[in-house]
Amino acid sequence: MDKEGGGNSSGGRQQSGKVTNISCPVCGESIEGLTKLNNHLDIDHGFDNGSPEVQKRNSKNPKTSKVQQIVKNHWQRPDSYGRAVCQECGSSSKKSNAFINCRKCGLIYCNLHCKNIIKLNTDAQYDPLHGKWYACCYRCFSERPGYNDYGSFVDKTSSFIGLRETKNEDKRLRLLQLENRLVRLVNGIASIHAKCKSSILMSFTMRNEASELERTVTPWRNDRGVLDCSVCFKPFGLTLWKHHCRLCGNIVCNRDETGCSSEISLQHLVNAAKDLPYQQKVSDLAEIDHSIRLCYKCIRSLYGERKFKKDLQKPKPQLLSLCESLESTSKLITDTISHMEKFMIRMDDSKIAEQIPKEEDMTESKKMRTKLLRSVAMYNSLARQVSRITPANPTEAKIKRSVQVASSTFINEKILSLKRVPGMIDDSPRTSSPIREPDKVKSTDLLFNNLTISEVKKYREELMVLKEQKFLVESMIEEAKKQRKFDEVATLSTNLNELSEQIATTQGNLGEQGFT
Amino acid sequence: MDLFTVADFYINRLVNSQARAGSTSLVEQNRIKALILDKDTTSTISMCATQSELLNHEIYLVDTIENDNRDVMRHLRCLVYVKPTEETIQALIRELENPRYGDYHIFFNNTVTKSQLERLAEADSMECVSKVEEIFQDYFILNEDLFSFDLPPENLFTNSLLWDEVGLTDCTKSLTSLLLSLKLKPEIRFDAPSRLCGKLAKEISYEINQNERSLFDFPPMDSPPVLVLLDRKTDPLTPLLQPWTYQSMINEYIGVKRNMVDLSKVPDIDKDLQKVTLSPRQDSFFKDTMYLNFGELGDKIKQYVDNYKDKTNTNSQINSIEDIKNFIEKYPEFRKLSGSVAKHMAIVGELDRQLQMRDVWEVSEVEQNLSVHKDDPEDFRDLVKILESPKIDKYYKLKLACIYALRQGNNNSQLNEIVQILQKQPLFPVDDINLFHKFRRIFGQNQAVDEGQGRYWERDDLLSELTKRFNSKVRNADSGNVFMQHIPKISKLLTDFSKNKVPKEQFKTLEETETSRNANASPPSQDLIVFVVGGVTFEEARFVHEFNETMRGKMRVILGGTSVISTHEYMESIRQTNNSGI
Repeated sequence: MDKEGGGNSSGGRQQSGKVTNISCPVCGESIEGLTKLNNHLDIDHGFDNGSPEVQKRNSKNPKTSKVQQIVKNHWQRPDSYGRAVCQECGSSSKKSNAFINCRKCGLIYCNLHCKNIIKLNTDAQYDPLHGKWYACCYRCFSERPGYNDYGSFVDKTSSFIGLRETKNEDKRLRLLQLENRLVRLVNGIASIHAKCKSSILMSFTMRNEASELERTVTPWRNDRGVLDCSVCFKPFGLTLWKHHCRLCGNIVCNRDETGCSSEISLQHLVNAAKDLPYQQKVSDLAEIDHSIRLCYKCIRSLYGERKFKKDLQKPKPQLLSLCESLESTSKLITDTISHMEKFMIRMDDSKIAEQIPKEEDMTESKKMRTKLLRSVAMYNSLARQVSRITPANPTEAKIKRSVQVASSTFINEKILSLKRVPGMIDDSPRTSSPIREPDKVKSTDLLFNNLTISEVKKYREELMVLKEQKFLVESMIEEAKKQRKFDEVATLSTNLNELSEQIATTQGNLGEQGFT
Repeated sequence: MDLFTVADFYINRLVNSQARAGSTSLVEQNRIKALILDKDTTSTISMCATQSELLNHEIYLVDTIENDNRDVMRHLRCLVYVKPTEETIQALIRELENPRYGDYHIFFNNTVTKSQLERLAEADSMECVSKVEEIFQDYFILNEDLFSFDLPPENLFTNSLLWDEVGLTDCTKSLTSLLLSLKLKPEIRFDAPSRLCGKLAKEISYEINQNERSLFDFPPMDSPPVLVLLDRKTDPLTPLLQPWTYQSMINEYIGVKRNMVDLSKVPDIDKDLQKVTLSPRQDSFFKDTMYLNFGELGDKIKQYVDNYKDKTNTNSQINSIEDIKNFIEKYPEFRKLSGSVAKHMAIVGELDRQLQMRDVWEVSEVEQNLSVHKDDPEDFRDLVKILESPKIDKYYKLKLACIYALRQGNNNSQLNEIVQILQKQPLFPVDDINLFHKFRRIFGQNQAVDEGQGRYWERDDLLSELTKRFNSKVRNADSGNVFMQHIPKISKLLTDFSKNKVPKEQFKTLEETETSRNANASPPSQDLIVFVVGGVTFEEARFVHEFNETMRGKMRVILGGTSVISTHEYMESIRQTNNSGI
């Protein structure tokens, strides 16, 4: 009883997902709401979960000791002729022992295709913990939650950002302190400069006052007891002197090879961090000829992030922007091709139905074709531009190589397959002689005397496309001439010649059917 | 439970990675991506994805984190995919302190510790990391049902009974990542006499219980998956025998590491073919032939070449325009085919050359007879003949002696005779004689243990009829083949699992779960992961594959090992085993 009770309760839980009409899992009667169903189950079917009152009633009415049977009312029945058809292999039989109902979904299967097992409760619901084993079909078997599951992953981003926040808080405060000091230094030096500008002893007084100012802004670390540089840890000596960083006050060396500290002119300092609130205008500070010694650490924390952000604001290298436009063009081409393919299928269907293609369909197809041609031409010229770029560094060279591989595979896969689209061939950048030849000959091959209407249409369309292309190539030649890219002009004009040749032959084919 | 599907899922996650909504910075618009890997993940990626697949996802730059000469490219988005080892974390910290790229998405192929994450967070003062994620693929996928950790046995154990500290951690971590990637929370059963397996089982179960809430929170299954841990020492015979199927022969005679076949030692090899990749994923011919034996392989490759020739012939007659068109259309495919034909021809040619050169045919026949027949005087005569033959390599003689010792361990007089013969051979190194004695010590003791406990494998003889019947059903083609008589113990194990007849004494569970208590009442397990400590063989992988084919829709088995071993590697690992533990 205990076990069955558990099974039922979990069955009830599974039912609770649905809200309104629930059919009783035992008798199939439709009942509104869960509480009613519970009552119905408790009273009519004698289910309970051991509440004392019900137990009493149970002890009064001696319980039927029969083991709870799994529900069967969802089972598929044989058809009206008494024949059962296997869902999987379609074999049918009238014998009752030749088929079996999947205990979960209830569909009929032959003995071969219902060999899996699954744990079900009495409501024929999957219950991995308290259920009992029943036969089921492969579909129910493989659809069990967790059976075909894979690929756990854990997103650590938020905990990482949390950690970063706490770590960076200190850094922020420190940075703020450094920035304040820098601003005070700059302001102070500027005012000293203004005061001493007219004085004869300008350089002397200024240096004195500046060094006094530096000491008030930043408490210098006592250099007694400091034995080595706080950046490179090299011990100081006769040749390696101690210096104080004017921002953090730490003692550092000034070796060139490690760059532990360096004197930087005020102008540079201000220019690299223009966003700080100086009293004077940045341009006014330019004339002050004064340098401040900063240690490597302070330079890094003050200017590292600024440099990083500034770099990001810079325009992209040409190679990358070209890559991106190449990508978007290729996406456009793929989209157009898939559109066209769908369209073609529709056209073919209407052809089978012997309908004359509609006017708007024709214009639609033309539009698409033009779009495709344009984008292919664009892709072509972009790919060429990429190959002309001289990479700035080895990494760019690598990227360039990969882009070239990618574009040539793209051309191989997508554009070469478009050969059947009339006129497409001359635009694909890979058109070396073996590809072009067949097309040329093909046009001459097609010398028919009597053209059917559809053929006329086809030729006209071809002609249109060819002319469009001719126009396109002509404009490209113009552009290339403007940009003084004469090697491109040469190849383009051979293209143009071929195009005009083709136009001539097509026009010849059309004869008087052609239009000008 | 197809491992390649899992790999695809992870690669897709990686290449389509998006930062969280809301943080759309300027960099977010950059679509061109760089992929930065380490030495482990480079293999992981290259074994599952091709370059063109990466290019399709706008990954135009692939580099390693160890490379310090990378140029600064602020406008690239950087996907980092690394194994969280100390070394790579250091490299990553250096990278984040001086970021070369504009935006970082970091993926780890296993769990990172809190302190590692903290150190990274501290280094990222520029806040250029916009995503950190753990995905779980800290293992190498060789076939759809075979994985390896590529941990050589020399570094894993301090002796044949004790794990090396680092080796154990590595192995546990990798195995946990496998379980996570398949979303399995298995019941662990291990080879009871093996201390290595017992220790590993404890470690893994600790790991699972530790992370039960956070990571191993999978829906309960009516038939819980089972992880079986085996010790290579339980079946030392299989890795000693010369293999005869394509994949395992390549590993034995040429060597394949992480799907790379090194053909550079082959005489007169073409420059393009010095290093070739072989993956059932990308090479359909290999997929069809990897489990075939050498004879069947010969037929297949002949067909393949004929097919290729037919195509070349049709291509050579380019008369009409249609021909040219067809040629152009098929040209890329054709080029691929010709490359593949050349590759397989080179490999098979080399295999054949080595087989001839080393008289492997003769050796293998004796090996197989020894391993199958119990104490047959005729076999002993053949053995002696081979041992005395001057043209057989001394490595094979030693191996044969070991096989004999393994099978007839109690027959001291004959073993002494073998030692005497070996010593008489000219130039037979003393070291090898010592290895033979060592081998006897290790496995002689092992046999005693076997007999003492459970006698599970000894029952082999009682049940052999059943096993054989099953096996003959599985592999009709091989019945009667003298070179493939031996059946690895894993076959019997799988058969027993499919019948739910695996004795609890031999394969212990750590804790008594409900299912294990009434094991006999419950139906056989449906998902099985078999892991061999000390290395798995491709020959066993073939049995697992065939088992999966026969049991399709009922049971799924995935096989794995600390590494995939050839006979040489196995002998070498015994040679290197520290004596002290025995």
